[in-house]
Amino acid sequence: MDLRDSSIDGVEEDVGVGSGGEMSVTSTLGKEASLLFQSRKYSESLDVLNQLLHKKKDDPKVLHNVLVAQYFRDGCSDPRMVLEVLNKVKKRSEDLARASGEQVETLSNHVSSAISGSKGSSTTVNQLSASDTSTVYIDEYDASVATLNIAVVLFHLQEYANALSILEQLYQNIEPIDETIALYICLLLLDVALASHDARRAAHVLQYLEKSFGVCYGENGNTAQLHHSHQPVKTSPIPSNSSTLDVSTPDSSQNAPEDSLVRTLSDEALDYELFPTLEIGGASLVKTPGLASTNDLLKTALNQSFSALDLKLKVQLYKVRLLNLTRNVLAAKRELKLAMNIPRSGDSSLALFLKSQLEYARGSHRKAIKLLMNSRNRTESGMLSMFNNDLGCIYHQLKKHHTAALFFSKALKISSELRSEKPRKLSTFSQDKSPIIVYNCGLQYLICGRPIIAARCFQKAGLLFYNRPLLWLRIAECCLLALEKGFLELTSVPCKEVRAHVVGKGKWRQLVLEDGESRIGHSDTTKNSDGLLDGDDQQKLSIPFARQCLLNALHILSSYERKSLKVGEDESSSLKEDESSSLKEDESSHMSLEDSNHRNMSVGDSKASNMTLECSQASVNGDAKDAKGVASLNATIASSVSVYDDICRTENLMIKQAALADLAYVELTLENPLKALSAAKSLLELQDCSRLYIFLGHMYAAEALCCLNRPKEAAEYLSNYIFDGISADFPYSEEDREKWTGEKVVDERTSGDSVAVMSEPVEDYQGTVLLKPAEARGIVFVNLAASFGMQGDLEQAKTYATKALSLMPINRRAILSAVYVDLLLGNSQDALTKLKRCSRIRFLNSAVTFDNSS
Amino acid sequence: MIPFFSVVGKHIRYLIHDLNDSNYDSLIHDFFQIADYGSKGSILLLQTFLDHLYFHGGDVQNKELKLDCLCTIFRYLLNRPNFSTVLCESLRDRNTTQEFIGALSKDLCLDVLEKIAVFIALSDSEDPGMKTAGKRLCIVQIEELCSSPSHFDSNEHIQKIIMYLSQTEGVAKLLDSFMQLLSLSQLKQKTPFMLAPLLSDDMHDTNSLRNLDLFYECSENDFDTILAELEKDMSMADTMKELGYNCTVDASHCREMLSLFLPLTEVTLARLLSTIARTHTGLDDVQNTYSTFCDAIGSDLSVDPTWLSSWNVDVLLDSIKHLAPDTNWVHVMENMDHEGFYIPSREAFSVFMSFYASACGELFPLHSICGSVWKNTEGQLSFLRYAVSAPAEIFTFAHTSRKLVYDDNIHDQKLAHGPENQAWFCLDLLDILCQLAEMGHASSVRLMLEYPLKHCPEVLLVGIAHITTAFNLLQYEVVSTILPMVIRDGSRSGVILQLWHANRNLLLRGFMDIHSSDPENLNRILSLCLDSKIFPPVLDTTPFSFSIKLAALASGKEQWNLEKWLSDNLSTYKDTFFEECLKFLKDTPSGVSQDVPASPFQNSGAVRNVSSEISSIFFKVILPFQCSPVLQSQAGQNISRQLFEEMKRLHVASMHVDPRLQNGGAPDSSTSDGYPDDIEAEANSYFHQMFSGQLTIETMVDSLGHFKESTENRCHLV
Repeated sequence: MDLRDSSIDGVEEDVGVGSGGEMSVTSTLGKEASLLFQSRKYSESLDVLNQLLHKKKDDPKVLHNVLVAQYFRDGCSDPRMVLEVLNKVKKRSEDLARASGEQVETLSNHVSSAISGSKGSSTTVNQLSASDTSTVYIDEYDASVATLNIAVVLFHLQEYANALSILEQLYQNIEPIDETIALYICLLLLDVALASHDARRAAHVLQYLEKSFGVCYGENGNTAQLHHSHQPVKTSPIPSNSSTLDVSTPDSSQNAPEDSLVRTLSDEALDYELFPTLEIGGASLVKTPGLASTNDLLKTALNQSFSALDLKLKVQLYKVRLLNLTRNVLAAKRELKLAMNIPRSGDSSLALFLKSQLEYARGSHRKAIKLLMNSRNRTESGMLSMFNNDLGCIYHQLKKHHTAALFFSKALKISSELRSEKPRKLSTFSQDKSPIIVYNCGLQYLICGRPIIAARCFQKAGLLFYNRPLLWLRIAECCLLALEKGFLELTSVPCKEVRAHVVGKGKWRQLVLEDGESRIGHSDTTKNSDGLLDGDDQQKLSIPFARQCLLNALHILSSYERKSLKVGEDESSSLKEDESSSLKEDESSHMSLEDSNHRNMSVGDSKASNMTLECSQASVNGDAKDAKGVASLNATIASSVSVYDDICRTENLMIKQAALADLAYVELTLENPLKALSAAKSLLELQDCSRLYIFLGHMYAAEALCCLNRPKEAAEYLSNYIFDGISADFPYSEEDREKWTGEKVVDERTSGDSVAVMSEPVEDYQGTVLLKPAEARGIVFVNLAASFGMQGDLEQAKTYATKALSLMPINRRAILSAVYVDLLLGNSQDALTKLKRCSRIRFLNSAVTFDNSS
Repeated sequence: MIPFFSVVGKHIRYLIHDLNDSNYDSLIHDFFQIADYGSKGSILLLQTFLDHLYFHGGDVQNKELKLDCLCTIFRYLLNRPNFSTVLCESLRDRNTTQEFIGALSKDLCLDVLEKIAVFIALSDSEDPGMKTAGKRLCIVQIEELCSSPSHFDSNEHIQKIIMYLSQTEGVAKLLDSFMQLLSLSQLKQKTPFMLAPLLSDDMHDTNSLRNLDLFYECSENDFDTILAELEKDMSMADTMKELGYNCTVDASHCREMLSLFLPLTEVTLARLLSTIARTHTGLDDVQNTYSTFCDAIGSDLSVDPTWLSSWNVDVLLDSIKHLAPDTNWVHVMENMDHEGFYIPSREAFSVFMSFYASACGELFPLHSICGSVWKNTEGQLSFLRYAVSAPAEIFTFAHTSRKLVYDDNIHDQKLAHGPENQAWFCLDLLDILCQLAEMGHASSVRLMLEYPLKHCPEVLLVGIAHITTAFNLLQYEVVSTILPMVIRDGSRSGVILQLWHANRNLLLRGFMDIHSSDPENLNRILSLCLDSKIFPPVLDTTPFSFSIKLAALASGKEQWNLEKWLSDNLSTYKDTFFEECLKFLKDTPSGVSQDVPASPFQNSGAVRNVSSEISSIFFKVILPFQCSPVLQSQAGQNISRQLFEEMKRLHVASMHVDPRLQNGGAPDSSTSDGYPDDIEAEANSYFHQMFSGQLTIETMVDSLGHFKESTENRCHLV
């Protein structure tokens, strides 16, 4: 809808232009069409355009305008068709342009004026104007309008990567393009870049905007005061403009929060906002009666210098969004203040939304909720869905996961209603954030311990986010959680209790301790071969499936690494290639970032990444204070962008650690110690690995080595934590643990081992809470006892087993290892006593009944 | 475990050697079983096979057949997730070359994809030679694959190959052509979910509207199904817990809150109720959460500034009744077994029960909590813990359907029947407790039993005797605690009879335990049995070692015809019984002397006399059996020669001892002449060990024999 509105405006202007340029029948027709279009009589306008088409067959501009008019008439129920036509138009006009390329200049003037007028709903306007002009002149400019419109459609379809690559091409050749169109290209590019979390790109475009268009708003006034002065002058046009803008902005803001919520990062949401604002604004205009007049007003205003103030506000808000994205909270706050000082008549919902996002990022969730509520517009269902989603995100941060899930499912419901609305509009597509919401839902359920439904959500979201490593990690975590909860079709489950069977009769009566984990993965794996599944088939959770997911996550991560390496090498070389690759990379990394933010958020303490952020922010702010000019702002942006890159890297690293640790665990579960060993080794080779994961890496490696019958090497890994031969360091500190406890990563899980085989029982992962350091130390002892037991050094084994037991008197593994050592020593009485003392022991029903009369 | 595996290895080698046409199928089955025993079994199997066929040298019989078998097993292993470990470990230290691996894959008739899988697996090896061999072969195979594409039947293979190629250096070209191959074969269908991230880079352009395709056109309904599932899965109870007490601040709020989760099913309500009980105090300050929540859901109700410190149960109940008037509260109770149910305190319990009481006037459905063991055993225990000790007006077991009929003649003991709520008369409760105890909650159950053990032990004893479980863990504990008390206190013999009717095995076991802990108790046991008139069946059902003693004692008191009993049993049970008699006779002196230190002024002489009398009865009965071997064998009796000899010796010895005993008739002589305590204790310990099954009877006999032959006096005494 937005497109149409804007296009209408453009048409009008274009028509005007066309009529001015030429006197032919076609131009009259064009004029008529544009007038009709302006007054929203689309079908009449379409009739005229068809006449025109009759006269000028295959004229791309006319075709284009026909398309736009149609589009406005019935809504865009088939974006595919629109894209097709647009591509055709683009191709044709390119051909034509090649054939005759000289009359361009006159056109461009017309076009520019039209464009400037239609700003708010920019893209379609441009198209229409282009088409009108094309009736008269043929020039290369046409193609750029059509291309821009393609990008607009793609943007609506949330095909950001595609849109980005198209816009990127335009942006590279922006110089010859008419200024207004260029402005639209820049704005759209900004939106797309922010939507795909490409901070570097966005910063680049922002700087370009200020450089190239700064003049025009420089005229209006660099400072707020200047703006004020301008306002009175342009009183009448400005209000109209501002009102339209406002309408659009609230919508957009709502969208934005939704997005952000979806991603849990408020920053993200902002990115989306702008773009949606453009389109949504258009839509809202259409809906509101009396808007036509405003459009007119807009045009006139645009023709004059109105746009400057508006543009200034817009750019300012983009800046805030960018800073939000890069998590430079303080700078964002300052810029937001500036933006709020820019006078305007309408409501300031976008600004409010951004503020809410800021508060969200700062952790003052209550304020965020209040602001969000002030900024919302509940009448539109798309917005409502986003609003609910945003609330869900906030409650997620508050660790009210069930409430969050409630809001998410509300949001999902609203979007599903939205989707079933007919006819579908293009804005429906852009407003439908179901994948994100579903992802958020999945996260809540994962945290609440419902792996199956969570996995369903994640897999659904995976249709869109298939290239985000975090998604794959989450699915794998679902599998592991399901394993822990005993939902998988395995013969046994790692459990916290000791299972004892009594078999045999009379003097052959024996106590048999269940060999807990040795069977894992047998029954299910063969059955579980995945045939070629349809894209959205839900796969059953299983451990081999978890392995595949983890491999995918690692694959994506390593492809990031390769790309960033490449980017780093030839950063200076030609923009195009680098940028495209870096763009992709950024995109994916952003997603992961979001997710990781989720984690951090849930942790409650923003941890390392946040800490670094704050530091960097401090420095950035310090810089900013030195000089308040544009230069300093640019410096702030630049530095926060580079900080942001670091954040992305850190977050990817965190994902990688988790994925590798999970992978090692999964391979152990599948009895594939060689692979487990290599995963654990690569975990240990990571730079800046957290101590906790280092601990896990050591434990997993040691267990794998035990499985491979190499207890000596295993002992080496374990003895890292032993210093004077007896006592052990805490493998990690309480702080390390606290950092991660909130994370609820299910990956720390015990890989159990049977009593009989007794390789290493690794860690007992209790619930969602991580082991305390003391317990971890106990586990080191348990493992040492086991490995010495395997080597036959019973004395050592006994020492460690005793230590472990004294540290963890009720831990199943500690008891089992002590019992095992006792048995090795032939001390079955002691073993039995220990077993009896263990309150966790569970006697299972067996076929034996006690026979008393012998 | 290592010896165990070497045994298995030998077994496998034998099986392989033995493989032929006729046993092929059964052996394959065996091999699969071995392979199913974890990675160790698989490694051993494959290793042994390869050794046999390739590394052993010399001729191999039935080579074709064996290769065929190996091929089957190999394929079986190939589809396992741990194949790479299995393969690499079985080839470890085997000096494998590229040629060998190539030949092997040829011998096994693997197809291209299988070969690739094998070679990729080799790349996990820690042996660099094997690794490069695998790599070279693998690349050749993939090239071949690219030139003549075949069908992929598993995404996992594709994933593996792509991963492998992208991790290997210098094969970028191959990766590209493989991707191309994939895109050709995959284009017809949608990209499989699993492969999406791997393929997306290359397929992106061709499939530019992926989002649109996948999201908006193909799977619309799918979203709705997920949504439905989500809504079903939403937890009202947890949400309310998160939002805090103010949800119930007044009826309209509460109703609005609840109506977010319609319909209110019994399951939902069960969860809600348990949450309310569990969190009736102590929730954090969440007032703000709730008020913001009200704003967020657009509730125009102004939130009361008052701030509840607990749930307003009445408001909640009213709202529930309003929204779900037809709720069946019995069903609600039946749904209490869910994750998260836990009663943390007495107050929580009374909140729970008062809620139930005001929601539903009926008696509490006991079957819901003691009808069966819950999945959430902790929750069940937590409920029972407070239920058993609750006053009758809050909770009572009086209406249980399985009530213990405890007929106690002595009415003034009524007060001792435990709490008014009659918990310990509820057999279902005891049943559940016994089961829970065996499921790892013994310590909590013991805590619960403390009260009845103290206040109404007999009720508990009789009640618990009605329960049979797999291990009877709790039952034995209770019996061993209470029965001695009963036996000491002769006034409660009625209990014995009830026990006897309820569960005679349990009673007898209790008797034996008591006896073994203190043999003097035998007298009391005897008199109880006689009182209750259950003496003959007791004799018939206890183990001989016990029954012989009991019979001897009874005979000593002239309550029993030992001679007849002995000969009856001897003719029925023969050797076994004979052995026991032998043991008894050997043991008797010590058994007698035990009485002495305990009661030095009792007529220990009489006891001895009795015992010697009894011994003589024994010999009288037994020896004739020995004397007519021909008759024995005809009668099918086969008392072994050895036993027989022993008995004879014993007889002689006892003749020897008896005079000594009789001669030294002074009361204190037994202490001086008798057996020192330590020896006695040792003897007892042997007996005890045997009794509890820790020593087998054979060993016992052996060691007894050993003692006898020993020259040391001490051993003789023992």
